[in-house]
Amino acid sequence: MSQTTQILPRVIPSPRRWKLPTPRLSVLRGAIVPVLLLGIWQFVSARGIVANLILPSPWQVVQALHVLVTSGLLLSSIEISLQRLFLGYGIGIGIGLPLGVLMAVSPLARKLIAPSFYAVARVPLLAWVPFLMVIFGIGEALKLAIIAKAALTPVTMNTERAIAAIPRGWVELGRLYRLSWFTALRRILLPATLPPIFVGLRLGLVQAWAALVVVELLAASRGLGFELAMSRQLFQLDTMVALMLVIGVIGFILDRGVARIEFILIRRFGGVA
Amino acid sequence: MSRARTRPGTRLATFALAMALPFAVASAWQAAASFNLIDPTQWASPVLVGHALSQQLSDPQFWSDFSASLLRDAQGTGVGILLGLPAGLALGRSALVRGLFVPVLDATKAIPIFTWVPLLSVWVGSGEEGKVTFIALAAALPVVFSTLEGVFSIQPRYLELARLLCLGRLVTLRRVVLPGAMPGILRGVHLALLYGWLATIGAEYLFEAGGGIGSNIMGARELYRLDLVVVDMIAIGLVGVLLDLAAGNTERFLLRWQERALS
Repeated sequence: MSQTTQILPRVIPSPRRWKLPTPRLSVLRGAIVPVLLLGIWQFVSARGIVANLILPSPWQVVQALHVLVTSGLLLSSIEISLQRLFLGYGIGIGIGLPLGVLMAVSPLARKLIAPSFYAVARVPLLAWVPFLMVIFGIGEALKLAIIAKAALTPVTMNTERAIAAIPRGWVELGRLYRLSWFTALRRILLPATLPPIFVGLRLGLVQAWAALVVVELLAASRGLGFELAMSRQLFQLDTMVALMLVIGVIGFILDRGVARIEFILIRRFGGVA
Repeated sequence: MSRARTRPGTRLATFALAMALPFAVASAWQAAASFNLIDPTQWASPVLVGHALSQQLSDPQFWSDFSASLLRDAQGTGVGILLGLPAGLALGRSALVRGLFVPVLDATKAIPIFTWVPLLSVWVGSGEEGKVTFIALAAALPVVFSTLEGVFSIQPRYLELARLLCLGRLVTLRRVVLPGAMPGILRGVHLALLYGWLATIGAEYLFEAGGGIGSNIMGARELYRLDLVVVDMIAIGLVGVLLDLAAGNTERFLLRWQERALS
């Protein structure tokens, strides 16, 4: 016994991850806990164990959601928030992609920009908020700047890495075959770089969404985050929970949407996953 | 590429290039302020930031705010790690626990962390408890998921061997699961330290003000003291960098045995 246990600690985890117990969740089993939670929640609020003001019942949340939808507030808030998100995200990508390409392609640009870029990236986004507030005020520009900054960092870093990691052999092969500029892009550059660049784009979108919520909680007069902060002030917890659900679902859809685009593009251009 | 080939001259050039951009920005800023192209009272200037730095460093308020934040961060992150680790191990070891809780956790992960602030401020309170709870939540999630991944990364043959040797659950945990999952666990702790600090700053913005570097920087913003804001920003960034470095080095130090075992 003692001998075997002495041998055992020398466990060497494999460098590549094992694909073993990808949890084959049956939908049924996955539903047990949510249903149970919902049941307890309904029971507790129906029996008045916790005041309705503190814990609204599931039914109240549904009703609050209904009110939000029929009053048009939900749709207009979503519209405003998504507009901000995509504008800011677009700016972030518009700066981040070229910046990443530039740093990967030109050693001089890399040496010039990379240290400053990483120093800026190291300061948490939230610490930039007051700084940007002084510079931009608390209007629309502030929100766009913060969302763009949230997307910029992962997009730039992953783009730079993606291009730097193109296998040399591929590029040489392309030169050997005297591929045209366009064919080289289509057959070599895109397949080699699409998957890692999309990692950055996906991460950037998720972080941009989180940044949007923060900045709307902090300083906004419209949008989902603002309505969330408002429901806190008015002590309407049913509305609050309904809004949290909406924010979660939209974040989920955004993430899956980018994953879907990634899948289609990789299938179209081929890629090394 | 290799370090042996870089001559001191090139290293100096690299350093000069790295400093060129910050230097250019700082001097442009200073020049604009000196020649009154921008209003120095609103836009500050590098010289003013320098003054603010010495002012802050000798200001007891700054230090009490700073230490309040660090203490809050340590409490929340500590609780988060202590709760996240067993949860992650249980998820990794038991298919039943996974089947039950992974959907709930995935749903939780989809909600951006700051969305919880209003709800927590009602349920737990807008003061210190709410903040610490929020920080703990932010720190616990990465620990749970990284620990889970760490347990999955254990090669099945080691677990089979443990079963073959009829090792008890505790011995298996101590001798196989914990060492095998250690890279994942440490990665989770690393992330928890970074997220915890981020959540600390965010909590101080969004919950009721109660002392802290986050309240300090927001106070400076309200007074339009960009110089003080920049100093606080640097302090916040520095803590993040130090946490990152400390966690990274601890990780490498604790995982030395792996490289030995592999070579």
